[in-house]
Amino acid sequence: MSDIRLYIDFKSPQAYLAMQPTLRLCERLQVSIDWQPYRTRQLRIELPRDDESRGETHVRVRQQQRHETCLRYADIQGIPMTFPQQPGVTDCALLALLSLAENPQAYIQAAFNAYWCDGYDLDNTEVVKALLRSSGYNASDFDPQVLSGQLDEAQRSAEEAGVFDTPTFVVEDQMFLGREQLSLIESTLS
Amino acid sequence: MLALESDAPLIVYVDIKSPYAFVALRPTFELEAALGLQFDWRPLTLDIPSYLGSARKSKGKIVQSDRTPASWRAVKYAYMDTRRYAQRQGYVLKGTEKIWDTRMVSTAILWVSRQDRSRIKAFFETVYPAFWRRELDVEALAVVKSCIETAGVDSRGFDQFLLGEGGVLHDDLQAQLHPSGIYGVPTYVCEGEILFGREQLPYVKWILQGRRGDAPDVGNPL
Repeated sequence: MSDIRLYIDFKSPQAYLAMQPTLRLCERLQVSIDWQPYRTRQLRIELPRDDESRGETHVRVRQQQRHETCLRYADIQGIPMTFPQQPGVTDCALLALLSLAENPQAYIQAAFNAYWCDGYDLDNTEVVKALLRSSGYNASDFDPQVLSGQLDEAQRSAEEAGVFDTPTFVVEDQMFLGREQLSLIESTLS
Repeated sequence: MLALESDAPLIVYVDIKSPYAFVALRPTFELEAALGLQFDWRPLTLDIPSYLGSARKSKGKIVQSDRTPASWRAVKYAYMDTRRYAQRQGYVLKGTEKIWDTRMVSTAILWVSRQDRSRIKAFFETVYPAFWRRELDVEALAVVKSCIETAGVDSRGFDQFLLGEGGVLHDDLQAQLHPSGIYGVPTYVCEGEILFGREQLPYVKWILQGRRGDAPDVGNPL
């Protein structure tokens, strides 16, 4: 059994930024991760409208600030990060993650890089198969049609557990959202 | 008062009804003391129903709500998360039974700042822990005035300030926030940068110490 269950979505900027700090923590503490897919809802940054409600203004300003914050910390981490004009769909890539029983780390890193550095479509089966192959996995057996339905089931299960965003860490039945929690996670695991 | 400008090196926006602002207080005051600085503490009076839906509880049961299941999961998580940090700080944090109108107590922040900025910490220590123990009615004028007095600040004139200049100052400031890029609490404004969340305190500290060395990643202070 893994020490940390970690819910991710490749289109989640916070999940992307959490990847390296999380791997460093696991390396330091010698703990393992059970990687789980969770389909997040990403919003694009809307342009201001004269008729927007106060709530819509709040969401727009929050989205703009989050975007800028992510870019600041990508720069601090020294990793490339380009937001797509329109948030992509990552269901196919998340299905591939579900299909990998063991050691999916190389595929996960490749999928994050494909989305945030190269702008690939992670809902395209051929793109996802190429990512599987390039990261050392057998892509010939991957068939999103056969796996269809499993992602919805995984989503339901995660939501029943209280998950609503990524990266969500579950450690000793405690839930933690975001890499800003890594110090407390470390304290919990130590 | 301009939303992004101050004579202090750091502006801190807070709202008493935010549990995240509550757990940010101690580490922010610790930073203020460690650096020997005086921050400019200001109110941001959240309009929670506008972006998270509204809800009201009575005796622990939800009696009114227009929130989505996802919003409820986010709210439940927020209280669970902030409660564990509050406990580490030695505080009790009970979920609120309604969304409080904090305009009056927000205006009191402006009053205390104007009378004696050095008493802000005492004011927050009077108001925040009691509010989160559900022992303080921050919509009652007498209660807010009592908190001002307990913090060592004269409350005479606060009634007029609230109805006049202070209320206008508060509302003018709130109107500037969204256009300035500020939407939530705690928000830190430092050298023109807008930084939301106490997880950015390591970065705030790095700026205030002259940006020496590598900038840190986010991290909640323990």
